[in-house]
Amino acid sequence: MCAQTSKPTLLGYGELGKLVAGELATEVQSIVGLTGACTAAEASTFANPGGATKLAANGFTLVDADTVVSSQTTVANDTVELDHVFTWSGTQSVSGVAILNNDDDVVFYEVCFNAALEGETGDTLTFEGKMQFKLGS
Amino acid sequence: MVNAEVVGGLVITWGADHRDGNGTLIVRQASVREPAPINCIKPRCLARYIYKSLLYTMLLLYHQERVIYAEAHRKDIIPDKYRTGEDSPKTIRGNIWEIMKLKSRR
Repeated sequence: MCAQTSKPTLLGYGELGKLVAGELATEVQSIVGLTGACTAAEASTFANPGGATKLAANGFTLVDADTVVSSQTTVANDTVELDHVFTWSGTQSVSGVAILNNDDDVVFYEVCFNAALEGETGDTLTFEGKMQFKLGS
Repeated sequence: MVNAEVVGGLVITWGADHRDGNGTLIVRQASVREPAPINCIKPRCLARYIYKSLLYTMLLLYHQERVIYAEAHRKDIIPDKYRTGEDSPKTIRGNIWEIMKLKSRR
């Protein structure tokens, strides 16, 4: 069981800084399912995402997200919007997702669900994640 | 040199729908925002912040119970509000009542 949490990670902030500075870094692109006890934390890494376990089966393996675009929340293009549809290929408990860069080595942010989803083959999980560069309070 | 400061940062919002193979909604996750940080020390302001924090915690617990309930009854007919998360309780008392109801129905 887990409660809903979502956090940008410290490494994700660093990756964004390098990206804007034109240094070696890559953009938001990948998504992976998580299972087990999940609590989003700024200190999370690709190796240890929120204390949960990265899934590598049943349709939740690390993949490129269906779409990643900029969109508007407050001002034009202030948000990175990621959309993806997972399809269960076996019985699987899913407790959250992690959003990664193109190199698949840095988690930008992670999301832990209100409670784990107990899916069966053929079920779908439609995920939409937004990371807004928010100006002001 | 003039320092220009703004309060801002990265804000994460999200949504997730779990559907069965026929496209029927089993449950929709709810992204609940934390209350804004406190920036005052007047008693009334502190009390308001404490209330908002408690309401936030109870709302998280409500959505947790709601999702567990909807997942456990994926093939049953249950009120739409437990699948969609709308309308969620607006008060602490309302949340406690719904949480107790959901726990008893498990």
